[in-house]
Amino acid sequence: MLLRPSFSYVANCSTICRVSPLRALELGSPLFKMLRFRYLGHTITISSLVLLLFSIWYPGLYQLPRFWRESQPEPKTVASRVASILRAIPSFGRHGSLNKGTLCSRSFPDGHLDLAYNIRWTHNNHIYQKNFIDPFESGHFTEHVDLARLRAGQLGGSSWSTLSDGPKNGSNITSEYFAEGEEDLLSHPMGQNITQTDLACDSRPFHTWRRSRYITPSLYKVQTHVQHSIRQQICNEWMYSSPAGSSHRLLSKGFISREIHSCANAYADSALVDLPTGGVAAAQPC
Amino acid sequence: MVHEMNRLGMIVDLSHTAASTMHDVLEGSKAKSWNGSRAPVVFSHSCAYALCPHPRNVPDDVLHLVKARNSLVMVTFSPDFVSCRNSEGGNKNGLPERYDANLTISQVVRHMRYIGDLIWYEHMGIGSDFDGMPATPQGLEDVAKYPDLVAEMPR
Repeated sequence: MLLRPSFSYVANCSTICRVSPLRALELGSPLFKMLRFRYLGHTITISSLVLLLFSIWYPGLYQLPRFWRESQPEPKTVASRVASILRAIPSFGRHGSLNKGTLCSRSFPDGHLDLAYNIRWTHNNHIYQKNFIDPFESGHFTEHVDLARLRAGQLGGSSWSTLSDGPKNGSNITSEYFAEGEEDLLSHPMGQNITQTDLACDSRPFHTWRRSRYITPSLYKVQTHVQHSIRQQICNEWMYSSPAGSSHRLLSKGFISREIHSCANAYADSALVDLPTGGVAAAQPC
Repeated sequence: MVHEMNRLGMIVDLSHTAASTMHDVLEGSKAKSWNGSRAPVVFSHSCAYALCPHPRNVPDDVLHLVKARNSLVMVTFSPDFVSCRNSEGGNKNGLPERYDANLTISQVVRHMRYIGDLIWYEHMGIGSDFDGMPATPQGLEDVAKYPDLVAEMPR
């Protein structure tokens, strides 16, 4: 950096510009010494500004002005600590800055909650009775989720998981399979007045599913074996896209296979298989 | 079936599938003239296989496919997938043994950071599986503990 004035001088001098750089440096050395002291203050100031701007811009050097942040009072409680984190996290991880819109500048959603499963098995979907309402609102509901604890957790949203055990024979699917599962429960909070009749088999998505069984011979077996999952997907899709309207259209989840592992079809591969004696085991590769 | 789900606008969830199915859906198969899902997919409740070698977790090669497909892996708190160790092929059912000593909120964060560092945090989320698991990691006993999880992340 300090050599630049000397080369600049040499480049602007028509009498010595054709000599070698080394010789030019020697010729320009008296002037170089003069410029060095004359512009020393400017050089230091400009270098400091460049270094400061670079340290702010470059993620790895962002910690340089740490003295300023360390002078701020440390959060005393978890709540204040979380609040400070949610306001802004300038850098996170070795890759630099974390996208603020991803996790930290707003409440994040939970992609998988089994609350509906719990309510189904503990209260048989009777969410209007006192033995459900009181503990659910006060924070003493069984297992891990209720209204009071959801507020404390500051959860921004969640995707509700549902599970319905369908008939194993791959047919004889009736509306009861929809209405008795968690899908029926989910219809109530959504306020859409979905009745058992509404969930009958003549709904559009259900016909779509029945037609889709015959897309190809290879897919037929998949959909027969995992029809409980397909039914779950179709039911959810129908509910979330019902005329009452909902913004949750994409919350449907579809397990390709859970209960039955079929080596005859790669697309039916499940990570775990249910054992006849109970429990699960790792599925063996075909 | 996957294409039918794509057509209906459903998100394909690969959390319960084997690695072969993950590859089929995310990568496709030239031999089968199949290009995989036409839309991004999700793992609604899975962890990193590299930290817990459970068949329900997502291996590294699949994580790279998740990023390539602009998809999403949501880290779960379910104990079997959070903290385990593989001992000579696992137990009698071929599954790794759960390691309760490491079943903590810090281990969940390790999964989150591993996936986030590998394929970036835009492809990582949280899918707790609360109300669907018999036990929880220490420090993540219920949904009220989410702030603790956020507080633990930058450490």
